[in-house]
Amino acid sequence: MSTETIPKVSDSNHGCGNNEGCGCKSTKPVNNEKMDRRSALAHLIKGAVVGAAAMQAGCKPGDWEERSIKWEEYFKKNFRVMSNKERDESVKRLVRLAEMENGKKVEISYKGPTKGVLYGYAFNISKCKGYMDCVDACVKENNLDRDSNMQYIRIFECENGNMNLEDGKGDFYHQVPAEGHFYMGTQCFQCENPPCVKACPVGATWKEPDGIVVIDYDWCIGCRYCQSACPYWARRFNWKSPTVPAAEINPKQHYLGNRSKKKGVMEKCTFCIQRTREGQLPACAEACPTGARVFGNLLDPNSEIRYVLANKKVFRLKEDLGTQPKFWYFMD
Amino acid sequence: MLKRIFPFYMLVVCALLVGCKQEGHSSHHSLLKEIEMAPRVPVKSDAFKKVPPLAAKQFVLVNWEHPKRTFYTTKRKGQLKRFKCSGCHTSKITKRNEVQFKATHSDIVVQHAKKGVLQCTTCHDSSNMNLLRTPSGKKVSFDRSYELCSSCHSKRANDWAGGGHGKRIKYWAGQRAVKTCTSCHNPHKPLFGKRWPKTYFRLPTKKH
Repeated sequence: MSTETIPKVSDSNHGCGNNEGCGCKSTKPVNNEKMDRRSALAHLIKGAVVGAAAMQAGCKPGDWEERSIKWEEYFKKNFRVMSNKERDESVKRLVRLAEMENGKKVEISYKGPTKGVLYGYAFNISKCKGYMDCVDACVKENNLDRDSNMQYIRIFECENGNMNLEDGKGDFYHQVPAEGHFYMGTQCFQCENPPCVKACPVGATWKEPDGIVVIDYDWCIGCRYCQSACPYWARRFNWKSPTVPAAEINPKQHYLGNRSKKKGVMEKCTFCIQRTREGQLPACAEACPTGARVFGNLLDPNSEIRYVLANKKVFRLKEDLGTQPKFWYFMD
Repeated sequence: MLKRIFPFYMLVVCALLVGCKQEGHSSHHSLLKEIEMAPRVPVKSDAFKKVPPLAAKQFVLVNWEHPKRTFYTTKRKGQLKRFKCSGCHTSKITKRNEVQFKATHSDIVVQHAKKGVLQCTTCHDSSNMNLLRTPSGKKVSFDRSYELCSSCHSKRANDWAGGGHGKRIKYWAGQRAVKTCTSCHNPHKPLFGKRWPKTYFRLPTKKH
């Protein structure tokens, strides 16, 4: 477009009614006459028909289904207030969306907590050798975005004599264990007094009765207040739409766990809610070859986690903040 | 003067009494104490239906004293390539003969305790090669090798029985089944070695 001079009222047929230069920058003369109702309607209807035809021609049949599902999904309620019927309907839509996107049939459970169960986790610093089997298993189990290398678990290589994780290296890649170093892992600690829950302005994250702090991915607005509130940097944000190669997708999913998320929402470790609520160990605990990870029910006095808490010298990170994490560290 | 300040004073006292309680959390007890004091709510037996019943044939039942625990651990005889030992070992072996040792079982490297502390017959029963033996002479099946290991590694074995050492198999709920010592540790070379990590962490590049 060439640079336009502001047309003066006198040298155009602008009917703007402005006495000074109208400033519309349009050189197209506007008809000053009033149109009669009949021809105005005729114009509008013709335009609408042409527009609708264009839309129909441009839309593929799949697009329409996808769009109508996403429309319905947009208006659903927060998970906590949905009835089971509404949850079932939402699950049906999500399963269909996943099928359309990847061609893979997934199952999304929303199984609730079990009474008498409170999950706890212990990490043995003496045993961790930095093998990173846990990280690999977590990425695969939880359908984490591959492009951005999203990882819930962080393993730090620390120098002997320095327990400060801020000095640890999280990006090591050499034969492990390295001489003169030890290894410590962090992930979401599922605090009993979680600061992230308090920070969320919309109630998209909360602590479940079995102790897991969960996120309703479709309620999250992506403000990241929770990420700044978490003292352990446990929460992850989807800067892009997460993608997993179809062959690697884990089809056993949970509504509050490892189902596929969208761009602009938070996610984090959920102690593999899709596994632990079915009595299975989380993927990290199962994958660890040295037995450094202990997981179980804190309310069962005969559980392994209770044995560790009773017999080992355990500690937690940033104890002074009062977050009451349910993830303890110990040594042999 | 006191009359005028009295309502303000009462307000401050009330605010202090009400305002200091933390949300849903007793400030006087640690989380551990609260867990210990919590009333025992038994978990329903059908709560975790997806945990299959234990395939008892692959496990042995262990009754441990300190701590008092009953659990299952993996059998080993089916996993040992050269079991039964009596297939080759028909006569009594007394001491490791360097020449004979090199000819068979030559893939076994003994890196367990200092040199000279252990030799074959320390753990293997020379009169019946299908069994192990503890230092006191008690015969031990290969399926219960933990009885041999625990005769020296007693503290470690107690941790294993309690859950602070070792590995639980697949499920945290249901009947407890853990790996036996030799499921993870090669008895001749028990320490885990160096290897490359399975994956690594890198910050994403700016592509997206």
